[in-house]
Amino acid sequence: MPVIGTAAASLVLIAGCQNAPTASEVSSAMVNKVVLPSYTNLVSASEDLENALNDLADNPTNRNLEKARNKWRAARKTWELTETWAYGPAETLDFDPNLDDWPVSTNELSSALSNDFSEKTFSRLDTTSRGFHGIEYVLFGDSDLTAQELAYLKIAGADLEDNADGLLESWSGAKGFGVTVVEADPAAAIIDILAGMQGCLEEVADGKLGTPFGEADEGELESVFSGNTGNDVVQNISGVKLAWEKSQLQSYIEERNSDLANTLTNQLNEAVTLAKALPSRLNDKLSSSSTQLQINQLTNALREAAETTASVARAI
Amino acid sequence: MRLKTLIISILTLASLAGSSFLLKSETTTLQENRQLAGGAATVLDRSFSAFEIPAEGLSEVELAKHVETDPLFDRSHIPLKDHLNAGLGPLHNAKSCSACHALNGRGRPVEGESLFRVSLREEEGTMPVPGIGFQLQDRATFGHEPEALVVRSWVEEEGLRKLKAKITRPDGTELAEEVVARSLRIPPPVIGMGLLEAIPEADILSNADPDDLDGDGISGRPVWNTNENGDRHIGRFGWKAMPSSVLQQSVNAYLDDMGITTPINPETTLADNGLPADISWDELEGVTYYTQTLGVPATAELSSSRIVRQGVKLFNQLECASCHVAKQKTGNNPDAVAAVINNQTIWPYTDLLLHDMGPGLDDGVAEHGLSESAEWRTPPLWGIGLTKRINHYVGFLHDGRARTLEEAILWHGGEAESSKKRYESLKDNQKVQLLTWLEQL
Repeated sequence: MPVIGTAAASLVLIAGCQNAPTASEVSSAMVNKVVLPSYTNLVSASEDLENALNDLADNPTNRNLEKARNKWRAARKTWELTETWAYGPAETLDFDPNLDDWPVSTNELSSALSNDFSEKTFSRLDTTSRGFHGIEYVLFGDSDLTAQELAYLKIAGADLEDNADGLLESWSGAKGFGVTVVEADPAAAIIDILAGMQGCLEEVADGKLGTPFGEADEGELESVFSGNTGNDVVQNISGVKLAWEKSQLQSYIEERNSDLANTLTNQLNEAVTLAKALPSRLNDKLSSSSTQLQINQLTNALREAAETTASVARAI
Repeated sequence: MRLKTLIISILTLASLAGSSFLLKSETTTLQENRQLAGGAATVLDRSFSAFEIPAEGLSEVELAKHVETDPLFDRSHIPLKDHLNAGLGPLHNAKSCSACHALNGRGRPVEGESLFRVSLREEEGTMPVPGIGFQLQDRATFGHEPEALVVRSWVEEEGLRKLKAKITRPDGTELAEEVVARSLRIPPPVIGMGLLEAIPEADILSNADPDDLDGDGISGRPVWNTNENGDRHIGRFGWKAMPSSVLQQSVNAYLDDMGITTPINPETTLADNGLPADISWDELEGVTYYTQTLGVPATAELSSSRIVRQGVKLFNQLECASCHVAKQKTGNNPDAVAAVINNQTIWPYTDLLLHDMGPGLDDGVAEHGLSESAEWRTPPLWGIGLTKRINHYVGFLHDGRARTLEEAILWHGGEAESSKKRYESLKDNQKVQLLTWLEQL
């Protein structure tokens, strides 16, 4: 078994076989065709959400509420796609918890919303009362929103957009993480992409689905207020597939071990198909035997794909 | 079975590096193979997630438990309504283990990822600060006030930087630096803790020389802890070697860093304040198990490589190895949480002892009087070359002041002053050789 993270150096030397991309091309594609476009989409969707929350706060109609909920779902989709490459600044500069901490600290948030709500109030809330899930808790709760809740949504929407901006900026430009870290060391980048893929597959199998379905505990499911868990899972796995394909890592590996590359491609496709067949509102289905069967099939597929990803990393 | 696996791994390690290196004498090589930093528990991974990999050689049952307990380390704690101040806080520094130990590695010297130990300057830093104690909780759950807020800034001095921290109580009172000493602590990596825990006390004591009887200028002092049964154990973990066990380290981190109480033993759900504990014994034991069974990454280079030969030679010449003791052996504990922890030759580069590191690293806080303010535990160096790979934004030493490994070396003083001077007198290419070796650990 090779030491993952050192072996790819030798691959850089042998890369460049006829049609296969080089390691540099893979790392560059990962930054410029996967990560930056994904975070650009996140910023755009976050701006849309912020605007919708502002509209709702200014004019709290049912129509604006539904619009804001849809914008939340749309923004959520762009974020969940990025979990595979959360290993950079998302994880180490705290953008991940700022955007997506879980569970929601409902006691604190309810307490904060019981009086006049201001920027100062918001500043005293931890990340477990902010981000996607803090907004979700309020936005998908009682449709008769209070003035405090509307004020919260307005501030939390702006905060979420700020963090999306910050995340994009941290990867961008000549001094960004993309150029200075990922593209600067293509061999390491390949290993990290694979580790990110494996980590995301295992996280969905063992954490996001395994824990709540193992314990039949709705509280362990993410996005439970909006009933969006199933969509989160689809996006997570689609992000793994995107990293594999659009970074050209698939072609890079195919050139060296086509059987392994094809196996992983097929497993990821199967996992996406199984995930898309899940009910979106998984929290209503925790005790459903047919859903449990679907979950078992999906988690098995994810674990197999994770194991193949690990094999790919070892093989190079 | 394990031995077979290990040999296969080593052979593959050799072949992958494009070397014709083969095992000459299996027994000797296994014991002397610096590349297997954690012995049979070494993980063959140097990606960004290298510190998150379970130890190699865990049994199927042990691995399953590791995977099951992994989410506990990431769990974001929140205030609960079960009893007064249940759950997170109300005073705390962070809300989860992983909030500080990002990807199980070092944290940044920023609020929410690091903390301040404080003391009055009188009595040589052994007195707690009234109303705060020895640890400043700079966060509070909603509806509560933190003990103080800290504004951090860095001051450049001759190419190195030093922290300046302005501490203000909620009522606006500033804690003067002349009165209250402050010591910023970044979280260290959590790899190989089960292995460090398994080093026999006799082996640690064999490196201790508290009164420098051999006259080499290097002492090395154990921290002795006495538990409720009156048993004494050597402290091993943290920047000051206070806790003796991973369990004790976990209890302390829950209480001091997260404001979360833990049961006093497996038979009760009560904490030592008589109230229901904020988490169960299973969760405490689970987090402990998870950290005990994390692996240690293999070094990037083969032991026989030129980089390693040159680096080790300089490391020894400079007498860095007097404190950063390269090799240790774990004991044989029938109650070890995983069999692979026992009887291992490991390469942590630490003696787990306290050393006086001189005035540059003396920030005036003496940790309950168990250590002097200039004394620091020799931190393990295994995995140090992966630091920036795992978290691009972190530094070295207890407060993250050193932005590079060279800066960390240049901060050494006290017992390590002569080693630092020897480093400074090296030729440029020798400095590069030493740093290159460190970068592959």
